[in-house]
Amino acid sequence: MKSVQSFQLKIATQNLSFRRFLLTLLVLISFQYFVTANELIFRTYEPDYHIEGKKITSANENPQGFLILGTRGGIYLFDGLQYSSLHFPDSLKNHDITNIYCQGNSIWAGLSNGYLIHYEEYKSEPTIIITGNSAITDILTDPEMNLWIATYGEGLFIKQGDGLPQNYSAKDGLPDSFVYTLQIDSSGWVWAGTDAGLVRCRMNENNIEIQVCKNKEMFPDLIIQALVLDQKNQLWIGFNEGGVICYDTQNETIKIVITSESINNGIVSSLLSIEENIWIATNDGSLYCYNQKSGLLENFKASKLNPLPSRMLKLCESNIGGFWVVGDDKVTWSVGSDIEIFSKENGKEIGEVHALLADSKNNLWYCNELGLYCKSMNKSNNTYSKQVFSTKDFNKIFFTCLFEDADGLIWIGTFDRGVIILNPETGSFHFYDEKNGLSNNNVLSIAGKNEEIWLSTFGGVSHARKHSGRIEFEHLNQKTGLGNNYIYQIYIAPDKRAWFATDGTGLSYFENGRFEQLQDSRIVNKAVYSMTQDQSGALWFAVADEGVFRLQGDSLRQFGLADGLGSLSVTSVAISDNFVIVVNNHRIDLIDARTGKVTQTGENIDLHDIKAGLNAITSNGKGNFWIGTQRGYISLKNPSRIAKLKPILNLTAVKVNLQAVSFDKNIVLAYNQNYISFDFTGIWYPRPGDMRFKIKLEGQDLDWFYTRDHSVSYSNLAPGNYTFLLQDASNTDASDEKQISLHFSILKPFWKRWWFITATIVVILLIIKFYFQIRLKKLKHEQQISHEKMEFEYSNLRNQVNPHFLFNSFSTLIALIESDSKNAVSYVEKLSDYFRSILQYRDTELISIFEERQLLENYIFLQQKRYSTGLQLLLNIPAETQNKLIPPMTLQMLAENCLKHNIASKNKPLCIEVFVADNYLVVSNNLQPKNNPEVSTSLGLKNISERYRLFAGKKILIEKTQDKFIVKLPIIQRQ
Amino acid sequence: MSLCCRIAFVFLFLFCFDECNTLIAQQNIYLTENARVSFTSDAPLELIKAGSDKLQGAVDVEKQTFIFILNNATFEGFNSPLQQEHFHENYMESGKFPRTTFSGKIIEPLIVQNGTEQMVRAKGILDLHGVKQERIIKAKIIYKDNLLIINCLFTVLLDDHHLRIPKVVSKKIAPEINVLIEATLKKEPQK
Repeated sequence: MKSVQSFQLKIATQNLSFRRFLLTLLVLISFQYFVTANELIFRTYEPDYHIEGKKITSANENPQGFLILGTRGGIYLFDGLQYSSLHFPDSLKNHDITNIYCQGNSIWAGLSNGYLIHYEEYKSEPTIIITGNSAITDILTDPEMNLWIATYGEGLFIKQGDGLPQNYSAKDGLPDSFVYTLQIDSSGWVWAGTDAGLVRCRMNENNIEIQVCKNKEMFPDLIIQALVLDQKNQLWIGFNEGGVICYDTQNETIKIVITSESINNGIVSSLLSIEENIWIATNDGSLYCYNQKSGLLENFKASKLNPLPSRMLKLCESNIGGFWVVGDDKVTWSVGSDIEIFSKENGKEIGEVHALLADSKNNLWYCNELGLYCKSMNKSNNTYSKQVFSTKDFNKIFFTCLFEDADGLIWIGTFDRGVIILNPETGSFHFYDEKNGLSNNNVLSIAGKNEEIWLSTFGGVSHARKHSGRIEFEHLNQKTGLGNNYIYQIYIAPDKRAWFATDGTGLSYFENGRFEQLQDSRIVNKAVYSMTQDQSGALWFAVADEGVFRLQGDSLRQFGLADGLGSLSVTSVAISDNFVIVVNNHRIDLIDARTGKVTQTGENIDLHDIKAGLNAITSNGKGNFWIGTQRGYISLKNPSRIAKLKPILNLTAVKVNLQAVSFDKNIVLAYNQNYISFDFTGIWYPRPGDMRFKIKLEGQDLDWFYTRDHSVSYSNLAPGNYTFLLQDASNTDASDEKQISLHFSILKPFWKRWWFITATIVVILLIIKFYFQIRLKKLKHEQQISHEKMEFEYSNLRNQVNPHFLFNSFSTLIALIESDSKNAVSYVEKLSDYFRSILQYRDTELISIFEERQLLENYIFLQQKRYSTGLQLLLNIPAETQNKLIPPMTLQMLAENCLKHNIASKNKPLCIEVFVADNYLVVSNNLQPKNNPEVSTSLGLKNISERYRLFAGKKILIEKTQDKFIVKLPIIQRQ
Repeated sequence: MSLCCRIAFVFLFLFCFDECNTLIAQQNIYLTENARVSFTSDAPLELIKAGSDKLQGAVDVEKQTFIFILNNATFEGFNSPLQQEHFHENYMESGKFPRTTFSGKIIEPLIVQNGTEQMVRAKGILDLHGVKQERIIKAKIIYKDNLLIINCLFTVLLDDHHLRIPKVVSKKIAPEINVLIEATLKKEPQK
């Protein structure tokens, strides 16, 4: 039942006496206005075992969309599915939370003992601020980041920066120390509602400025329990028993009064301002909304399934859209009054609504199975629906469509009975049917502008004109150029052109006295149910089972299921500013006419199978639409606000190889950090269980995949750049601003990175270069050795065939044969040994000193036969040195050199000494040069020195003293 | 009420409100001359009625504060002695919680003028059965010949004060108890 309440509008001026006069006048002629009771879309959450029996005391939503609940037993975080407790300081025994305030990511929780807990962020460790010992009732931060704390018994505490909270109570000028609520206005005043009225305070540096309002003179009650500032910076005050008033803080006047009676004498516990709406919650569990545009106060009922809390404590805005009603036993989310469901009228089910009409006098006309009803939406009138006609009045008549003409007459289309034209002022009506010239008695649609009215019937179109009170019908049908006789809808476009949505031949329009057909071969099905035209001139029309088409010039776009439409069988389309309202059997979709983005309004907000009637839609031209459904009708306001209802997505954790990583910045990962998982939440209070996500990893996935899970993992990701994209599943717009996107890259392993490859190539090139260098050096070396060898061989060969040596040897031999034939034989043996040795050692690089010694001894033996005692050899080589190495023929050549350059005679014997000193094999001889020496080529010594250098890497030392010539040969160790 | 008792009461009152400036405060304090509290529980099967005229109270008209104290044992006028016994032992637990108090402040400014009659709201803590509840109770105050005549009717929800009723007798006790207070307070003469 709707109750009739009184409402007083008071306009106050600055002039007090004039104001009093006006007040008296206005109270005398106070408006009577009515509170309607409609259903809103609510979603109620009962506490689970976590907070069962803990009595909720306060709540607020944080930017991530979590509802932070303060209870008598701690702080809880609610995401629509579960409650989880916030970390509570261990040092506190009192868990009795009395207020929750969220500002940015910060959360403040006030306790009943005056303690204040602050969380930088819901996951962070809390800090404690101590005020007095009275319960904290409200908290706010001002733009200077001062913290204002209202208490119940000790007035205000103000905490400036890091300082201690300063107390300001009744002793400091507050009207009372019991403060209920705080609000801050745009000019920096903090308004406080107390047990003794309203006060405003401001911090001027370190001093508080307190101004108490004229409470007793101006306000209906002293106890102010709720305050809220609206968009225009007007303060709405909710009283304990004085209803609600709107207070102009600039002029200090009262602008609007909502009396206590009009809210059923409820104690106002909380106020909330959302755009033009002021929401009022009362202690006894009633929810009201005052619309500042229409001036209507409405009371809303909840369904049994989703009841409102019986004791409402607080209202707070929700970040997904809509708001929360917080009660001590439950919390209820509501979409707000943009979608209202009217299923009952005067306590009776309305049933199926076929047609609706919002007339120019702010009445809503609708017809159902029972009759035609008219409901006034003016606050000055009764909001009861008045039955204008019952279907029984006219032998079960069926009303099909409604239309209001320029004179305010209501045209009612019927089946079988033509059209009824009703004068709503007088109640007189008249039937017009085939007898009056109407083409057929079955009327489907009526539309028109000024004096021109079009009626579509089963027999074609009738064009009605009013002439001095009389109505003349002109009959037009297929024969007169109309494409089809069956017209679902006649639509008068903003340019006054009349359009006809036909069953079979698409769209037709009437221009210059004839029908034209809009031909478009791209549209296969020609049955058009409904059409409309947007501000840009584009035509939007619903084709049977093919969704909605948008036609502008030559560009045609079809909207189907893939674009997000709920069904292809669209029953009506209508335009509201920039939104096309598309009604189908299941739900109402909104298409943004500029972007083509589709917003679903259906199951996702608990609006079930609406089964809307064909073209059962009307608008009052002020953005309010009414849609007829199988169970009553739905009122739709602010499509742009409805389109903003969106889940809030949060990325809560990113784990790499099971380790959580920070994801504030771009993530760069090593090649083996390729197991990545993402944890996320989706806040969607209307139906949290149905929250589905759409996920795509750009760089890996080709297409979106859909999930209900709250986490996703990727393993063995190849190196590359990736973008993780997360959207809610209903989203059809790729460039959505509410989607989550996170870039990260996995680096290639170092051996695949450019610098490594370059470095490797450089190193390889260097190695090759060095190799060739060494090889070249070796080759040169070898070349040199072979050269030396050749030279040595050459000199040896020369020695072998040294004719002097051979000649001298032979001379000695001849002498020996004659004198001492025995020695001659051994001489020849030695000679042959000597030559064999030369041949034997010719190709050898190094021989043992022992072998060389034998060679030397042979040579000296041969020469001693010639020089006799003129040549002496003193050999002193220790046994351990004998097996060391020496280039072959070295000693022999040195001995030969000695003989070559020195005199060797009996008087002056040449003495060659061979001994070991300091790791050197020393060959020395006494110096007695020949008077006419043989021409020296110096080849011998040079050859020896080169061979030492090449084969042993050592140098020989040549010393020449006054009487000695010494050659020191380094001893070569065996390898 | 004996003088001794009165003085003790004044001190109790002053103690309650943490006020030491006794001389000034006394001028505006009204103490109960005679006061009666009565209640009715209108249950489907039984109507319980009882009352006590031993209600003591004080109102400070300048500070707008008040206190009322009742000894629970002083209730009388039950239908039967058995009912009285049940009342004290099973429901009120008078042995455990001997007193009921209501103290707080008066919201509306009191007009102390001979012959005025006004409706005020008394906001305070009702301490009944050991459970403290904040209540706003409306009262009619008549000021006449230096007397304050207070009349008020309010209800107490048994559930609010954890007054549990056994299921067997739930039809005999109403969940809502109507309480009527009629009190006459007289200005404490200056010493």
